[in-house]
Amino acid sequence: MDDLVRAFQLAVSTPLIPAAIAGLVWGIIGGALPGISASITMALLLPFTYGMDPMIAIVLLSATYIGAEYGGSIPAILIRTPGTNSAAATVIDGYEMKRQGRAGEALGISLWSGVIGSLVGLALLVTMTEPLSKLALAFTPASYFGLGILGVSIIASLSGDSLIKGLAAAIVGLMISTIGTDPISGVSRYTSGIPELIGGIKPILVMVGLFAVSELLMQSGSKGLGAAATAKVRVVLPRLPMMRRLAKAQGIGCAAGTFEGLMPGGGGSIAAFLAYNEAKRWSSTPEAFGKGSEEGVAAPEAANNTVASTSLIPLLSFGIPGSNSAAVLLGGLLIHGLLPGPRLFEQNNDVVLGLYAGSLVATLAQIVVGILILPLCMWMVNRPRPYLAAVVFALVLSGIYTINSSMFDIGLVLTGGVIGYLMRLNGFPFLPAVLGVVLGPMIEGSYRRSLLLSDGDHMVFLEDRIGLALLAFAAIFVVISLWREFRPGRLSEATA
Amino acid sequence: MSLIAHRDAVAGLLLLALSFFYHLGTRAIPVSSLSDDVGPGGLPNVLTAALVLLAVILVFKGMAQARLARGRTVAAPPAASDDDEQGHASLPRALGFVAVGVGYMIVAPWTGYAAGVALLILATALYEREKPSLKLAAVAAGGGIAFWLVFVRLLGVEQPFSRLLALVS
Repeated sequence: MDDLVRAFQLAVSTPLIPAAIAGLVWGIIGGALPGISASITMALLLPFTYGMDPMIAIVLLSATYIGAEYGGSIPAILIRTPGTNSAAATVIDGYEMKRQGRAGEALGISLWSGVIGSLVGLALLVTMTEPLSKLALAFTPASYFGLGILGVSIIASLSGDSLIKGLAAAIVGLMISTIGTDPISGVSRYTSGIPELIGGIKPILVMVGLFAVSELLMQSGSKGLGAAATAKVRVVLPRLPMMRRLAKAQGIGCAAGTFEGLMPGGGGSIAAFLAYNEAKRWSSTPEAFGKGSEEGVAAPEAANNTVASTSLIPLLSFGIPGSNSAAVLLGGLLIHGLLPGPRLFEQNNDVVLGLYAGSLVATLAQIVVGILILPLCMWMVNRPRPYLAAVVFALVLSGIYTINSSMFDIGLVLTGGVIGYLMRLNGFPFLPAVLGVVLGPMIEGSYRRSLLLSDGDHMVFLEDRIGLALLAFAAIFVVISLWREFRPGRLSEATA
Repeated sequence: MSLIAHRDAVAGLLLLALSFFYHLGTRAIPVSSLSDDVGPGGLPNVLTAALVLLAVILVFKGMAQARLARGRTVAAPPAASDDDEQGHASLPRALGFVAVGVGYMIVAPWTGYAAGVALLILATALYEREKPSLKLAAVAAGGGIAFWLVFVRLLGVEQPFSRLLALVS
C-alpha cells in the first residue's frame, strides 16, 4: 500500500507523466518506421538519458519500449511492412483487413489488444519481480559467477540459429569488457596507450553501434518502401461485443507473451507467432485466419505487448535481459549506476516504482496517443529513405557525442557498427555480445573474488550450492544446444 | 558451395585472427605486485582459448557443410537475430556510409555543430542516392538548425563548437 501511495506521489510530483508520454510518442514513431526496431528506437534515445534523473530516464526508455510495440503494427496493417519484427505476425490478418477496407478497425484492435497485453504484463512485472529478486540475497560471489555464466549460456543458446556463433559472440563481448583498467590490480589492459580507453568501453557505445549503426549500414543504398502513401485512416476502437469476442485470443496472446518474456532470448516476434498459431488452433473460426480475422490481429499484438513488460522481470530480478530491448534498458540502468537485483528495490525503490507508474501511464495514454499520432506516423513512414537515414544518422552521432563530448566515442560507435554489420552478415546474434559486455565485469569480478576468498581453491564453485546449480543449468543448456546443432543429419539439413 | 558454409568458414578464420590479436594484447599486460592469483590476464587467457576452440569448430563445420553442399543449390542465409532485415548493403557500400560519419568527426569540430549536422545530412542523403536539389539543401540546412535548436539551445546538451569561429573571434 505504501508503495502504491509513493508511486502516485512520484507521478504527480515529478515529470514522470510527461516523460512517459514523450517516450510513448517516440516509441510509436520509431516503431512505425520499418527497419527501426524497438531496441533501435530505445538505443537512439539512450545517450540523451545520460544527464537525466535516473527515474525519468528509465520511465522514458520503458515507455518507448511500450510505444514501439504498438507502432510496429501501423505499417504492418497499412502497407504490409512490419515496423518491428514482433509485428510480422500482425501483417497476415491486419493487411488483409486493410484490403477489405477495415484498416481503422484493424488498427483499433491492435491498439486495444496492445493495451490489454501491456496491462497484463505490467501486473505480472509488479507482482513477480521483487519476490524473485529476493532469491539473489542469498548469492555469494561464486553464485554471481554462476548466474553470469548461466545468463550468457542461455542467451547464446537461444538467441540465434547456432550455439557456436552465440557463444563466440558472447566471448567477443566479454573480451570487449576486459578493455580498460583491471578492477583488482589496477593495470591497464588493451588500451594501446589511448587515454580514452583507460575507463573501458561503455556498454551504451556497443549497443548503439551494434543495434542502430549496423542497421543503417545494412540498409544503405536500399530503395526503401517507395511511394507507400495510403488513404486517410482513422483508428476505430472495438465495441463491447467485439471486445468480448477478442478476449480469448488476447488471453492466448498474454499467455504466450508471458512465457516468451520470462524465457531469455525469446522476444516479441516468437511470442507473436506462437500466439497467432495458438489463437488459430483454439478459435471457433480458424478458417477466417489469414483472411482478415480480428483474432489474428488481437493475439499477436497482445503477445508482443505483454513481452514488453514480462521481459523486464528477469532483468530487474537478476540482471539478465531477455530481449534486445531489455538489454538496452539494462544499459539505461547501468548508465546511472543502478544494478538490477534485490538492492535495486532497497536502495533505489523510487526508480522501480517510477518504472511501474510510468509504464502504467504509458499503457493508458497509448489509447489516446495511438489515435492522435497516426497521421504523423504515416507522414514519417512515407518520407524518402535517404532523408530518414540522414536524420537517424545525425541523431546517433549527436547522441553519442553528448555522453563524454568526445569524437573518439563516435569513432568507437562507427567501429561497433562495422562489427555489427559483419556479425549480421555472418549470422552472429547481437544479444550474447551485448550481454558479454554488460556481464563481463560481474563474471570476472565474482570469479576472482571467489578465488581470493578461498585462497585460490576452485572447489569454491562446487561447494556453493546456488552457484553449482546455476553452473549445472548452464552446462545442460549448452549440451542440449550442442546436440541440436550437431545431431546426425543436422549439417545436411542446414546445407539443403 | 553453400553460401552459409562459406561464410561460416570465413567467420571462423576471422575469429581466429581476432583471438591472435587479443592474445598479443594479453601478453602486453604489465605484471603488477597488487595482482591476485588469477591476475589481469587470467580471464583473457581463458577467453582466447575458448574463442580459438569455437573458431576451429566453426571452420570445420563450414568445411563439412561445404562438402555436403557441393552440387546442391545455394541456400539462403538464415536470419541472424531478432532485429534482422531482409537484404543488405555490400561491404564497400557499408564502409562508404561509415566514411560519411568519419567525415563528420573531422569536419564538425571546425564548422561547429549546426553546420556539421547540415553537412552530415546532406552527405548522407546524397550517399543514399538522393538527387542533389534545392529541396535537399533546404532540408539539410533546416535539419542542422533544428538539431542545434533542440539539443544545444533547448536541452543544453554540449555539442562540437566551431574552431573556425573561435579563430575568427
